[in-house]
Amino acid sequence: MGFQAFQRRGFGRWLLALTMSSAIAVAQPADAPPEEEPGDRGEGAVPRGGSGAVVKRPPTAKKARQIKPPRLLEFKAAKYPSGAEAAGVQGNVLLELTIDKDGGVIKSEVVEPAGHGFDEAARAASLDFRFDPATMDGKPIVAKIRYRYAFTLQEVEAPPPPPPSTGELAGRLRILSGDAPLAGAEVVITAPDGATRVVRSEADGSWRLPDLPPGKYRVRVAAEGFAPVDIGEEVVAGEATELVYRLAPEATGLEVLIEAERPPREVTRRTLQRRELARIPGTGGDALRALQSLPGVARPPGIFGLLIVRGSAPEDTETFIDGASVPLIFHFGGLTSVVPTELLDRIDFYPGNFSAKYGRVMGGIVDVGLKSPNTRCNADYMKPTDETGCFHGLLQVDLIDTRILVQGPLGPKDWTFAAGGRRSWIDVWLKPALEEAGATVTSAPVYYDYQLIADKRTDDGRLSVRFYGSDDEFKIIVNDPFSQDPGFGGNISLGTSFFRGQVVSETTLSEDLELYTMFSVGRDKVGLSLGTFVFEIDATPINPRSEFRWKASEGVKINAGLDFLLVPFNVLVRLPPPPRPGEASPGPFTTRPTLEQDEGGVAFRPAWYVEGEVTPTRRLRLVPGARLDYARDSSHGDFSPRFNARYDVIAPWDAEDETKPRKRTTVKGGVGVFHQPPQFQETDEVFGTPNIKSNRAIHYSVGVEQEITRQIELGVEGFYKDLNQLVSREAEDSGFAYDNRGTGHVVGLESLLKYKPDNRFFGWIAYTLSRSVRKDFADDDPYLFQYDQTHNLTALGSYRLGRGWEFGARFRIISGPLVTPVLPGLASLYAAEAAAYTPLSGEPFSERLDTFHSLDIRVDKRWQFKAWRLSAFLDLQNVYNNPAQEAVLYNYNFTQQTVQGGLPLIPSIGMRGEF
Amino acid sequence: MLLGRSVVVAVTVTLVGCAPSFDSQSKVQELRVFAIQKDNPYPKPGDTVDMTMLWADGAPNAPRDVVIAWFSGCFNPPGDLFTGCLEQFAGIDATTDPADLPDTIEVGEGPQFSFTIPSDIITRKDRLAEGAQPFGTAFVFFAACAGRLDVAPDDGEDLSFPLACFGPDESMLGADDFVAGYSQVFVYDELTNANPILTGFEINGREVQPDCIGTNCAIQPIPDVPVDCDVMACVKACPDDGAKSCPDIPIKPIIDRSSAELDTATTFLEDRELQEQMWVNYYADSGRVEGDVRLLNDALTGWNEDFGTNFRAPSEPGVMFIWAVAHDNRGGAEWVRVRVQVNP
Repeated sequence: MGFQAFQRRGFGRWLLALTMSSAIAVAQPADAPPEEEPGDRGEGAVPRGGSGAVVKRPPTAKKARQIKPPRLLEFKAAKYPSGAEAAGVQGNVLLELTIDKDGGVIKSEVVEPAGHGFDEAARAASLDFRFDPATMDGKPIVAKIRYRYAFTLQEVEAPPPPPPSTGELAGRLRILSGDAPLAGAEVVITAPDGATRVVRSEADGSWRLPDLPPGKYRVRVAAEGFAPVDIGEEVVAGEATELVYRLAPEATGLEVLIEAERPPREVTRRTLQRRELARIPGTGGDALRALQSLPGVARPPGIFGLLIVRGSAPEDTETFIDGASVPLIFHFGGLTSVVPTELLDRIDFYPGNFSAKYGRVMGGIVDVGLKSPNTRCNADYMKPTDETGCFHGLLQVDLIDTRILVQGPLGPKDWTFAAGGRRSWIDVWLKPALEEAGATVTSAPVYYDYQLIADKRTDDGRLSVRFYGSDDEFKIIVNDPFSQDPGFGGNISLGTSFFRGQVVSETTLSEDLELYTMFSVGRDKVGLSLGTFVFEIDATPINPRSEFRWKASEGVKINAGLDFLLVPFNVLVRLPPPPRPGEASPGPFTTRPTLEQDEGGVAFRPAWYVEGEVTPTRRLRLVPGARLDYARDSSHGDFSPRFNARYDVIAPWDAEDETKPRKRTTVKGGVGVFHQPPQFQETDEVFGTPNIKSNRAIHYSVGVEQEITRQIELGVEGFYKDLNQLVSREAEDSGFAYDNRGTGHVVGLESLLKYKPDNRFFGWIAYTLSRSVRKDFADDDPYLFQYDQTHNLTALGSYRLGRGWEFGARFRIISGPLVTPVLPGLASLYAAEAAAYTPLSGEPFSERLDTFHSLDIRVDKRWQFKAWRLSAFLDLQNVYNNPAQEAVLYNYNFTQQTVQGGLPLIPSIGMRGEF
Repeated sequence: MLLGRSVVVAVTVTLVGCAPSFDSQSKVQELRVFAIQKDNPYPKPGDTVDMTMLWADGAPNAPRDVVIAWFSGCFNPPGDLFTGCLEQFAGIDATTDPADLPDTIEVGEGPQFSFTIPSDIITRKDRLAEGAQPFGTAFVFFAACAGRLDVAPDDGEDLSFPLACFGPDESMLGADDFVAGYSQVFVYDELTNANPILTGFEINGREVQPDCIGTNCAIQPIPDVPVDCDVMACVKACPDDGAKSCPDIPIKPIIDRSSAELDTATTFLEDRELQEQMWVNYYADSGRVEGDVRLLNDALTGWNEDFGTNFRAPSEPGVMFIWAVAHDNRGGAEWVRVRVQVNP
């Protein structure tokens, strides 16, 4: 049989992988602009100054860590080259310094020479510099920084000034995300003798404290809504020390550390940061539901948690937890996601043209990142400090479930842990409701999930061990079978469960080579029973993944990896062949002939990929790649070449003065081939046709990203998906014959106007225009795909009002769902054996229901106590109770119809305590 | 998992009362076909199958002249789906020469029909279905028309039914006056199945004399004799005409538990026995039946003693009928008709 079963939600998913970050600190020029860091930063401020270094987020890092840059303690003046002095020549030398764990300079290389003897002089002097070494999580590490050494001639004609007796501290305050000035912040400096001076930052974020006696000072910067800065600085007589502090907006939930993202290997990656994940109205604080507010994602029908990306079917999009595929992402098909939001660090969403690292699907990719355990210590009122080794806890209760999370240091040195669990409450209220309705409830609907994470950071990498899983169960006996299909009665049970054990390692093998390795093993079980129909899967997915990341030369990086999947399985099925979208109604399930399959085996799907990251200039990034997949079940190999590119038409820095930021304009585009193996039943010898080929899609996309302000960015992207080789089927004497004659296309335009999160606000307006068409056979007429949504407009925002209050709203207006009408005149035939009518269907998906629109609001309130925090939220979905149209319902003989309304006004209330 | 999700959502939404309110299927106010009974639900190749239709005309202007027609001749259609048969019939219209019709087509008229299963119905399949007992399928189509039955005009649709019902003004009649449908007959070499066994009917916990059971209901005229309340069913009219405020009157057929057979078509479930899935459909031409369909036997949990339902009396005194049809999921059916005297 084919193991596509394990690639599909509902038939189980078995692929598992994980990613993690490296652990080196790399420096950038002291006077270069900082990396643009999207999203809500929970990490402390990064100091910058004339003699300071700025930590550039490691390009390979993806996970949060606390990195403190090296700071110059002792400056050694270089000898001015005599020839240059005589000629009146001045110059700047850019050096790259390697600073060891003790703060000594062990290597100094000239990056930008100035000639005239400046290079040698600067290099020699720099080797005598002394630094306060860089640290990661409090531990000294080796770091590289770039240092610009300026040679300036003294005015010999002027009379020598009196020797200065004082110095000066001055600088600018910026908001870490968005780089906006921070006004009104309090800057307090404490002299060696304990004397303090206070100043507030101006409107442009600048501040200045002159006439300071030389010595080491303590500088504290505080502003409401931001994590404070507390750092040591030195005042040198006769010098003005210019400093730039970037303050991070204060995290409101558990502290979240966010590092810069590595440059994308995809055309478009949309990243939702933690505050956005938890605060989007109408999602109940559920992170994965937040995705449905992004461009390119269609609204699923009803309460389903389907991910419909760029006009593709839900099964065409794969969801990973830290790079690892899981068989289901929502409890009970859409209630809430299987990993609580509190354990998520971020969600990366790739709507198309994704990296060669990902395969086996032709829609989109959702990669959910689990957070690293937080052991950062808090001061009073939960102000984060630089100390680590502390415990944190969380307890949340809402109408759906109760969750608990504990994290802190783990016994062995350098280990940290997080342990979470959740159990639903829905059985408490749904069981009586079902019994009142006449059902016998054998096992009330209940779900639970659990997560254990243990992390260890090393000097050159990170090791993470994880164990997580989920379980849903539901058993009832329906004594009133559905009159339109009496087979849907009697025993109905649904059970889905999975767990994963994972070990992830990321190691820096050398300066130019990193190795990422992941191994996971788990178990997936799916059980469905409905009358005489049975569907059971029991599988043990084993998934090794590995990727080498090699910096071949300046501007050229090669990522090469493997992605293997080995799945011992047992499957037991007794079902009629299910109808496919667009097919005529096959009649009631009750009387259709069942097919049976009971077999075990081992599915094997290896894949290899290689991808380049070529940056010939700082503005241009080219990402060619290719992936080779093989599926033993279908005996087919698939080669998928891909190419993505980004070019900064206007770079985010000024070429003349890189400290001056500019409004970035980026054009981007990509083209790539994506293969998706057939589904389980399509290649199974009983249910389908063995050896059919994979579905294939060619993604084309081109777009532009334009920074309007430091806080606001507009992105527009057009896309086209050419679908071919799609699996189609045709009825034959003994069932259905499958082949690859289906075609189709999706064309659309996405736009996103986003206000990046700052200390007060985040929000966006997303609009998608699209059309998704399918054709089953060459001679058939094309028809609109089941999930086609022409227009999808979402506007949302969340604002911190102060005093712990936050208010958010989301408004959506979206094209209505498509339905297949019944024929006029004689609309149905009576299927005598089932005692039920079956419709005579018209053109598939040829009618559209009314436009959907809805307003959701969310209010959060936080009470901060000295040692803990209490918060509450109210999330109201469909505030004005719009009766959305979800589907058409018919009477018993399809002569009367009405519209199935959507969800009414639904309040969701919860409370949370945390320390 | 779409199926699983559908089940969960459908069950939840339906059972907690969010389903729309249409007229109940059990309320017979027009021409209706309730069931087709085969003398042998699982015939063998070469067998002749005798079929009987249970129908009723609940229209306000009933009794009317009702034409019942049958035609067979569709064996092993593509996908074993009725739609494959309709595609075969798509070329048939009023101009078709009967001589051009396939030889296998057999036609009939009236509430009973017989046709013969081809002896090679199983072996003629190009590829015997894997994962299931070898079987053949035969479709028999029927139409009940309270008007003139004729070949349907070509509407250009592949899946439209080839017959139509016309009124006195030659207009095509709708679902109140015309019922079209099909019966799917599974043919096995060895498997057998029997129709459920109904022996009587209970109202308010008391066994009453039914009007008829099984084929007699289809072939015998309704007796024009007064209802004897000592042995037959009599209820008191309810001014609220079957509304929830009316007293609930428990009703149920008497069904032999041996009706529930093992579903022997299943071959691989070695550690468990699947039984037939069975249910009872209730119909009444007056008053109101609380549940259209009740579970009779579950494949896993077995017999459901609570397969009865409640009836609420109409406001108008007179004679009315209640039908109960027991089905199994393998094509078996049996029924009982009860005449009820509604007293003032």
